[in-house]
Amino acid sequence: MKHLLSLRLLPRSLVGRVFALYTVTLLAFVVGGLVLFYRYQFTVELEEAQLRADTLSGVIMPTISDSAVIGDYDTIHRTLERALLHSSFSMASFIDMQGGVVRAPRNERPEVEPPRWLIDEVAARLYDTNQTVNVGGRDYGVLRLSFAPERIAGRLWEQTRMALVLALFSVAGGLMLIRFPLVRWLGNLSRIQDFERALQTGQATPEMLMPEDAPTEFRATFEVLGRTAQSLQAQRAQAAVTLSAIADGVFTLDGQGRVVFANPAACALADRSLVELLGQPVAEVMPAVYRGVDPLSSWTGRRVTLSSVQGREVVVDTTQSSILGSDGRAAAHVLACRDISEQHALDQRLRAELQSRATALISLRQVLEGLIRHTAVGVDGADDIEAVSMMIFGLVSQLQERGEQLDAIFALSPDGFVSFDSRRRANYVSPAFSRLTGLAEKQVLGVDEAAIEAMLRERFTASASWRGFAAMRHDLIESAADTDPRRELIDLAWPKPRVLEAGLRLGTTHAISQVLSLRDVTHETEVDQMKSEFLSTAAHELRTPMASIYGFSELMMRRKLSPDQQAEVISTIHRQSELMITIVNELLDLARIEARRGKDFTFEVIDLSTLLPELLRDFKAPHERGAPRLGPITKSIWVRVDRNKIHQAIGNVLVNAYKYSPQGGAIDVDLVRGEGDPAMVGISVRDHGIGLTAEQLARVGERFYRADASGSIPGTGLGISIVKEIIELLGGRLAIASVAGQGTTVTLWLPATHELTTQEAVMEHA
Amino acid sequence: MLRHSLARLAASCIAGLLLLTGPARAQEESYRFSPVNQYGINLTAAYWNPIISYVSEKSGVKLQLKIGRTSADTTAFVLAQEVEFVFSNHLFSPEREQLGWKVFGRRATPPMNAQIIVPADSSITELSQLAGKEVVFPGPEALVAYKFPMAQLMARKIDAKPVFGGNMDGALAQMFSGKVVASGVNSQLAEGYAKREGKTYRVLWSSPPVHDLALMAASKVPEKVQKAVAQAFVGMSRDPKGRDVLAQASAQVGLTSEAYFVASDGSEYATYRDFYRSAPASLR
Repeated sequence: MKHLLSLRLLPRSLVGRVFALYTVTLLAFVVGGLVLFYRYQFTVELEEAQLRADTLSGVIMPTISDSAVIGDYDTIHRTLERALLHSSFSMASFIDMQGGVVRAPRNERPEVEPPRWLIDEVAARLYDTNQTVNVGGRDYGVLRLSFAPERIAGRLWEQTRMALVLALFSVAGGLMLIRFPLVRWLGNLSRIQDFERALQTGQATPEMLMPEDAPTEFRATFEVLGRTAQSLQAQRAQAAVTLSAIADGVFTLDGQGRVVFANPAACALADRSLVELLGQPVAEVMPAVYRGVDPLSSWTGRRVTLSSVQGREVVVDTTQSSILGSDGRAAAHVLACRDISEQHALDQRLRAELQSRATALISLRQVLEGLIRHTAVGVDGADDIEAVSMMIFGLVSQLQERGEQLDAIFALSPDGFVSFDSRRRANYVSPAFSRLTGLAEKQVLGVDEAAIEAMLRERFTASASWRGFAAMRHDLIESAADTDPRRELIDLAWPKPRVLEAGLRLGTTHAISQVLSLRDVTHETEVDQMKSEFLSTAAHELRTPMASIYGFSELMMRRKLSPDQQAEVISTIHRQSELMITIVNELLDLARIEARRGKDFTFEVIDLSTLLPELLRDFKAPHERGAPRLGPITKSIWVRVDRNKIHQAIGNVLVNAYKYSPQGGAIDVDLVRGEGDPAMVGISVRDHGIGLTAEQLARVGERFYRADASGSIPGTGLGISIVKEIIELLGGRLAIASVAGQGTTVTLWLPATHELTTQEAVMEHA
Repeated sequence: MLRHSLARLAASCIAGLLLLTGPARAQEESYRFSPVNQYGINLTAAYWNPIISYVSEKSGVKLQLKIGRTSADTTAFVLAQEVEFVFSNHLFSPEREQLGWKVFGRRATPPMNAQIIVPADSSITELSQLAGKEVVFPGPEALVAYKFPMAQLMARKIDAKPVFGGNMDGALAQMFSGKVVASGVNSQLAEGYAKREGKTYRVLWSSPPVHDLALMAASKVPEKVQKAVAQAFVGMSRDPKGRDVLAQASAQVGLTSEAYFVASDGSEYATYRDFYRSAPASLR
């Protein structure tokens, strides 16, 4: 506010302002000088007055002293009066010791009457001069000089007035001296107004601003202004040419929205000539542009369709800008119209294209949503592109996961697979397929089914009877859906003899037309074969006594036998029946052992050094044969076994030892220690019988195998099988060493253990 | 600010008094007190104004302060019978004792000395080096600062040129500015000045100790008034308010708070009286 007020107080012209500044500065200096002058004069005058008083006292003191000593008061009075002539004192006085006073007053007014305040100021700073009149140590009185402050102040005031007058003359002269050159030189600036008028008419030249007496600074400024004006005129001409050349329509409007200029493009858009447009309200010239819009407002990028411009529809992008004057109000406006008809048409086509793509995207999203309905991929609220991306990502993840699962399954699966594409060429080979068939993946991939079939057939045995892909496919197509296809077995001779079960499943997709699976059923086939052989052997073994019983019983029915003969036949029947019962019991025993796999065993820790003597003592050797001989046992040997089963196993071995040494000979039983970890202990039974050949020894343990092919040695051929099963279930193994004609040594190896403590024994029983 | 105001007040008092053309005692109950101008008018007024106000209030005797431009003014006021109370040591000459002024108190400052001093950095080390050189003194009436040292110079026949500074501060200002080479001083005032202005000096000669200036009353002052004024001065140190006034006033001129007033019968000023008996005639 204060700033505005100070601006208003300033003169408006530059000359006035410079003159005002000079005046204020000059006055400040003059007043300051006057004040300093006054203060200096004041101080000096008072100091001099005081000094004059001291001097005057010193001058008249001898006369006053002498007169005071002799009491000549007239001389004192005359001396005082003379001392006051032309002085600054109002009174001189002598005061004697009795209080008498000799006064010499001087009432003289100053030539210039000073103001009262100055008199008071002087009076306050001056002090009377007192001097004692002392002669020879005796006081005679006091000499006092009293100042006349009005006289001192009068002199000061006179000097000050003179200084004021001089200062006023100086100020006036200085102002007059500065005024003329200021007006003369700064007045050159008014030429700029003439120059501006010439500029408006395009007749301005730089020489108009170049007076000879212009100051250097102005000349430089005027030169710059002249060059700027020239440049401005050139730019105006250039702008006019440019506006005529550009394709955009440009209307220049005055503050009221009337057309003051329009370039050819603008005239074309308005469908009028420039002469017709000038002075016309633009809202009437371009009604479509200003429909619903204030003609004096500003905007940018407003799209308007102009109909029937030279017979066609034109779309223009319009921008109107206001040119603000110094007062902040719009002084003029510029309307620019750009023909964007082609761009508009392109926009329309692009919009339609975008719409169709958006529709396609929505459809794709719906499809994907259907595909991933059961997944946890969350797409709620996302836009279509994001949702589709997320769903595709989810599907790819699922596929990748599923692929990894399948790879793992195929890698771990013992069955082999080969998948075929729509042209029945292998497009996947599982590791198991290569392992089973010996066909490497690279040999199979890309090969058609006929070639694969041929490669497989190369590996067949002579008796293999696989019908091939075509037959299997035919069965699948022709057979009912609820019936199992025919089982196809392939006997491979190499890389390893195998029996493979082939399966074919037809695919439902373009990528997978069919899948061939191969399952290794070699073991199953062998077991089936063994079962068949066992049944055949068992039936054969049972049929022998049965045939004997049948034959002798028929003999007894058809013939009349003597009592002796009858007894013999009945004895034979009985013996054969016993054999049958033994066979059946041992079969059942063997079957039970195999079925339960030791689960019905009652394990206990037993000292063999105690068990073996008891067992051999209870064993009943055949008639006329000596009991088995037990070797020396020096210390306890502990094993963890089922007491009954070990009895049965040792018994079976002993029975066999006696049976297969029909010529007699001792049966030696020994305890032997093996090596290794865990430590093993063996129960060795050695006979001196017929022994076994190497071939016979290899088959010992098979069901119903008997080394005595003549049949003279009775037996079922199951005893050693039972022994072998029991010993293995007890954690041991069966070892047989034999030399034909010399005898056989059967060793039952069992894992040794340590003697149980009392606590372990209790827990064992528990 | 306070000092300036007090000075203006004192000056106004003097101006007013000088306008009086009649006898000094314009009113019966009013008495004028003129101390020797020891520190310059402004400082002297700043020291005495609060003391005089306190004594006036305490004693019931109205006292007006009257300070001269120089120390000689106080003596002139005495001779012209324009004051009734003074603080001075100018009245112990045999002739002036006949005026009947009576000592009733003194300032209990330590004994002081008349001294001749030079600035600490001066090349002068002996009194004899002052021969032919200007030595400044407060004024011809100054007993301790002028008459004692000047008598010593004359006794030693050292022909120094005496000049006067008007008062003690004026004289010391001339010496420390280099205008003169040495100064005769009252040791108490010189110490106060050096303390205030931060100056150092060296003593060339020092007199035996003498007592500070005396509070004196004119013989025409009634006994009752004189006693009341004396009791007020002496009792200042015992009155808390008086102690405060004295302490603040003393601080203005570089004195300690121990510089209170004590009663005196004038016997302590025998040294002064002895000086007048033996002093050269020109110094009496």
